[in-house]
Amino acid sequence: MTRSEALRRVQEADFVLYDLNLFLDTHPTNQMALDLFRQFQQEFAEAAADYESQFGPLVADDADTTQGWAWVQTPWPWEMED
Amino acid sequence: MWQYEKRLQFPVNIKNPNPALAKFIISQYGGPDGEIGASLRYLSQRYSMPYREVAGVLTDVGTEELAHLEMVATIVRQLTRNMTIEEIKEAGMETYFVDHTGGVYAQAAAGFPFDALCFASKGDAITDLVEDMAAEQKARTTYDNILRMVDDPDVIDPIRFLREREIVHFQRFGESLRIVQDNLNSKNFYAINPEFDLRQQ
Repeated sequence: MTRSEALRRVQEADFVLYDLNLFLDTHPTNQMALDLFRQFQQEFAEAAADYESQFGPLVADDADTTQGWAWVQTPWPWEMED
Repeated sequence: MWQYEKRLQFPVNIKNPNPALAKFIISQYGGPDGEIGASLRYLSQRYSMPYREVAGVLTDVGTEELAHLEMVATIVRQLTRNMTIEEIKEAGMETYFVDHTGGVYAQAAAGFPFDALCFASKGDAITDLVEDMAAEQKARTTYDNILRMVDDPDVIDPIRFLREREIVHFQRFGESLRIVQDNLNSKNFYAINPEFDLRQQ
């Protein structure tokens, strides 16, 4: 999987979570949305872990410091992806 | 508090720089209906909002607007990268270049700088939510106007995404307004201001 493919998986999973988050704010008892949220929490966690293991931290807290300070070595989001 | 995630909410990869487009797209960075105004409007209003669900919407939409601010800045940056003086002149960007070179600056398409006067925090739940619904529609209109002037699919795709989110936010603010009204006297929603008159003494 290329970096942009791995990133797209993260973006898609988190977009579902974010849209459900807003929906649940005004529909906090909607069981279908609650179930879907739980399903995509797992999908996002897997996608993020997969991305970070190959392409570096998405959040600074996840940086693996045995490899130096990767946070400033990997591309910033405004740079072109490939 | 907030934590930064090192990625865009939606991909932006513009292959062909075009500073003429950046000149007006920057309005959604620092213009009167832009993303920074939207974010700070909602994040300011939430502190006095008495209904928990609505404070949630204000917090979460205000946070998403920061991700949109980053997308708009990325579009501007990629459209203006490696500009030559000839390209700057051809695009009519001399005035921007003189003041900001290639830096991203919060201003409207017409050149005036970001002004906090463009966001409202009135301390009245109905007033603020009606303002927020209008704000989402104003941003949607601005994105529609931008789409009328752009023919590069690399720019159109992220702008369409941002436009769509304005509609979703409008929907959530409409539901928020209904939550507020469900908590008030249905014969006269305006009998009191729930942010002021219902405070615990």
